[in-house]
Amino acid sequence: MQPIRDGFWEVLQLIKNGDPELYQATFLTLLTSGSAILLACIIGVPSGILLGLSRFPGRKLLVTLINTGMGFPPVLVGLFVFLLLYRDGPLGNLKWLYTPAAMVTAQVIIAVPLVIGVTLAAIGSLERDWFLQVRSLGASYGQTLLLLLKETRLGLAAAMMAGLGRILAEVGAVMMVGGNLKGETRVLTTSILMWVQRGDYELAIALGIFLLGIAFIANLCLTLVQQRAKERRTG
Amino acid sequence: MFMEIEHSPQVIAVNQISFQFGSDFFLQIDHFQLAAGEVLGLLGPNGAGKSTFLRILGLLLKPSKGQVTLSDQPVNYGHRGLAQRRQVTTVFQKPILLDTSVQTNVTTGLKFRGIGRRQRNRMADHWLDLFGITHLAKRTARQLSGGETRRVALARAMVLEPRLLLLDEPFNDLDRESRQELQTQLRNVLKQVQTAVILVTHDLYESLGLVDRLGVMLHGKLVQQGSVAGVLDHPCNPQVASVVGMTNVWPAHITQKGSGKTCLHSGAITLNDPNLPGSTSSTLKIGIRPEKILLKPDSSASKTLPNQDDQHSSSKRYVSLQGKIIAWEPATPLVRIQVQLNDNYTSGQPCQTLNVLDFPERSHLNKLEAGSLVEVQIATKDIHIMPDFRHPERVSQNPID
Repeated sequence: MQPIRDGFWEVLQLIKNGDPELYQATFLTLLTSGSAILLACIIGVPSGILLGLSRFPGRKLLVTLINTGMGFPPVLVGLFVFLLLYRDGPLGNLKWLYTPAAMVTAQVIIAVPLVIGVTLAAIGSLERDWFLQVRSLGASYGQTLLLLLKETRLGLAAAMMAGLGRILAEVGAVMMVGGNLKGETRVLTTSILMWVQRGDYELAIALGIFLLGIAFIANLCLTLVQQRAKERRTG
Repeated sequence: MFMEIEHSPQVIAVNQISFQFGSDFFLQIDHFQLAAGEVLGLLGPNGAGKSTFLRILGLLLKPSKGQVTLSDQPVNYGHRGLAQRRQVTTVFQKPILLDTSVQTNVTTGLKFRGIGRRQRNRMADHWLDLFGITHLAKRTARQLSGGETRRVALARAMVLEPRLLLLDEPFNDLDRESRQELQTQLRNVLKQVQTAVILVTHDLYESLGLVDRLGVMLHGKLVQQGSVAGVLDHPCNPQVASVVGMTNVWPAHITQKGSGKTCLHSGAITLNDPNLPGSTSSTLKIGIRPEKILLKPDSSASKTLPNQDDQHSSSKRYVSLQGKIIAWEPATPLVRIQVQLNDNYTSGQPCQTLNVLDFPERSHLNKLEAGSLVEVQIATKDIHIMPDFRHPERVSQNPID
């Protein structure tokens, strides 16, 4: 337990000294994870709504695939993105490998099934005749969609939280496609992995505590939003 | 089936529509129309297609074939049909309230129509008041009781001032008290507007005070429509009879007497020179409404009237029968009495059991209770003769007893 106790001390030191490596890793973590969750929501929420509303042959299969995707090993996603962006790969020309763009790509692929899945569940939690009811009140298609977002806001916030949680915790894929380059693609998780391998457990713990803090603050913000929505609902 | 000729402006009309759902559900309505201010009660057993028909009338479902016209304009089911759709609104069997306050629920439809906030709230207040739920305005819609939810849904529909209002079982699963209260409120509200209303129900008696006209659906078809009394007293076949609460239905047969006279028999009941329906080729049934049967203490026991004389004087207008009460049970606000008729004919028919609805006071006054012998009087005009119709595709599934 010694490293944990030292870790707490270390993290205070790092913050106090304004350690550039810590701040760089944190900045990159926020940058990649933030843009990844935004992109994942931009892709995942409309897809989830569309999938939740449409009925077509093979829909069940697609939903099953998405549910499988929710638990897909990130390392495999990393490998897939790596092969995609590799010099001779199909998207090799982009020269994204070992850049934050590659990391964001991998994180989006990891988070999208989760966002779609949770959005799907939120749509599914609506009453069977919700759309008929709204239509019979005279809503146009656009008005129906807006009302849908409003009615499922709690579920959508949950989708965002679930996606963000997974992205923040992700290490294998971003390591593989980002390469843990100092100042460029080194984020908190890859940094922790590296310091553990080098045997500096105190520093690893310190970074871990910092990462937890970020995850906590992000989730706190979303929970507060959710709570306020709930309060408005019941108040 | 007969149609009434409407003179007031037609709100909605359907012509030769059909709707297929899967392999075993088929809706076909040949002709139907409704005028402004008219209230039609749509009856039928579960699965008859009432809700589907209502969705077609609510412009929420496009029929596979045929045309729906709203105020003489063919309905457009695409984007351009929005203005038409906004003239019609439906209150569903299980109204879905939006996840927000009662007031926002009631004003949402107006917001869709681009009406400003102040006017929206004023209109909502008016209807909340009419349904007696002003105090709920700020409450969360999802926490309301069943009766309150119904009222909010009704206010939300009425505030739109629709030309056509569709109510799918509006009093379903409400307790007796709030049901009656809501019926009274709805009756008062409907009096004030020129809205055409269709009220779907499987409970006949709840709708009678509200409707001007009745329609009966069976197996996806509108089999009979007409005035309330017309449908209640003269159902076109035994299945309709059972839907409209004519609980005494028996097979009957015709015998020819000498000198060209006909005679109709059904168990203990005999009618001379009956008014037979048009086509007598099919087998016949007779039906008697339970509330049109008069029960008296057996006159042979009470000795108040000479039985013979009574029989004679009313031989044309009444049928008199003897029987024994085998069951007496409250059916609030009436009582349901079952009378087993003495079978004077040795026709091999099982003894007929007559279902009677009576007022509790009268039945107490006449000392009617299980086991007592009674005289049964039925006016000849209340014995309705109808052809024994069976739906050709459903004979095996729906045997008519």
